[in-house]
Amino acid sequence: MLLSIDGFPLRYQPTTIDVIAPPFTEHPLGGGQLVVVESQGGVTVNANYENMQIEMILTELLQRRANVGIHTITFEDVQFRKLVSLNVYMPRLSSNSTGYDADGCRIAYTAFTVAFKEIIPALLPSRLEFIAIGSGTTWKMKAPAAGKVVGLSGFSPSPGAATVQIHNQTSGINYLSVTGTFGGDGLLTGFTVIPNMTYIKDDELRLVIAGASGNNAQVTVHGWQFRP
Amino acid sequence: MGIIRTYIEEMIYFHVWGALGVGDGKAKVKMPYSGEILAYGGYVSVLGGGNTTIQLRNSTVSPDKDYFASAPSCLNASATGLLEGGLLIDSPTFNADDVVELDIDATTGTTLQIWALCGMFKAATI
Repeated sequence: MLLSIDGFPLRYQPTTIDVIAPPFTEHPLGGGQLVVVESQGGVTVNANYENMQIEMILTELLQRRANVGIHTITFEDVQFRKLVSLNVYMPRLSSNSTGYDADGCRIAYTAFTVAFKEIIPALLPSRLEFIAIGSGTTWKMKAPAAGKVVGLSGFSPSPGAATVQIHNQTSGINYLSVTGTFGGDGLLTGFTVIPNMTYIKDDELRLVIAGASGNNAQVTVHGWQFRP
Repeated sequence: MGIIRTYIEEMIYFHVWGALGVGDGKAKVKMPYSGEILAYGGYVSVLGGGNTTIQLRNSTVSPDKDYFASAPSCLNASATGLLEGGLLIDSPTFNADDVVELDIDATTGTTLQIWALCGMFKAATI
């Protein structure tokens, strides 16, 4: 199973791990069919310990500062038989049963659950870098994952009258309603990104520079992308 | 104080400018964090009538580790200039500060960009 926190395998491994999906709602239609809508939000990973003392686990978790801030846990997904990493925070522990040990007068937790709550969705910031050589040039890139364009930046050491457009050759759409130009300081300026414009994995994205741009240029498309 | 790691995904780029030549270490990147290669791609500006075949190699580990079991190419037959084919090894991982190099195994082209989408553990000290 090999549950690890921040890349360090825990000394005391859980007995079982359950991945709990966010709740869903059901909407019955007039004809008796059922529409099931999945809720937003991350999963909860329950690490279940049996026949262990809670102090053993807590000591190690606190050493890893699991109760503070955001951490990464890695565990083996039984269904897909691969390692899964998630960004999580750890709420308080819950216990399933309590009792007294042989010495008496001391509560021993024999089964308890450490719940790790995923807090960061599968959207991650992305930078797609395009380079251009000379004027009237095009640079191509296949999108590494599905995503959305939210911004643009660029620089040319020899600004000129060139215009910059980001084009999706696969779907035939442009991402800028107003093309950009390189100002006197060489920075890309004057462009307008069309809101909520997306692409899917393997879409062919192109940087299209029209007109005289002089020498080389670099344009970075900033966006959000889903995990591939 | 302690180190907390967050999982991120970043594009790592390898650029080679001008007329391309066959050889190792045409571009190098020192990886900022430990992680693995999740996806890859690339583009050659001018194909030049032949294929451009590349390899990514970790030159820090001993022996050197190639990340492609089957090397990808920008194919002259496709004429798109985009990187095609190739197969990553089973465990394309690297450690922080490992140097990954771009090797060109065959080419007739000009100006090349290879990108690797990497999942990495970003470390922050609190």
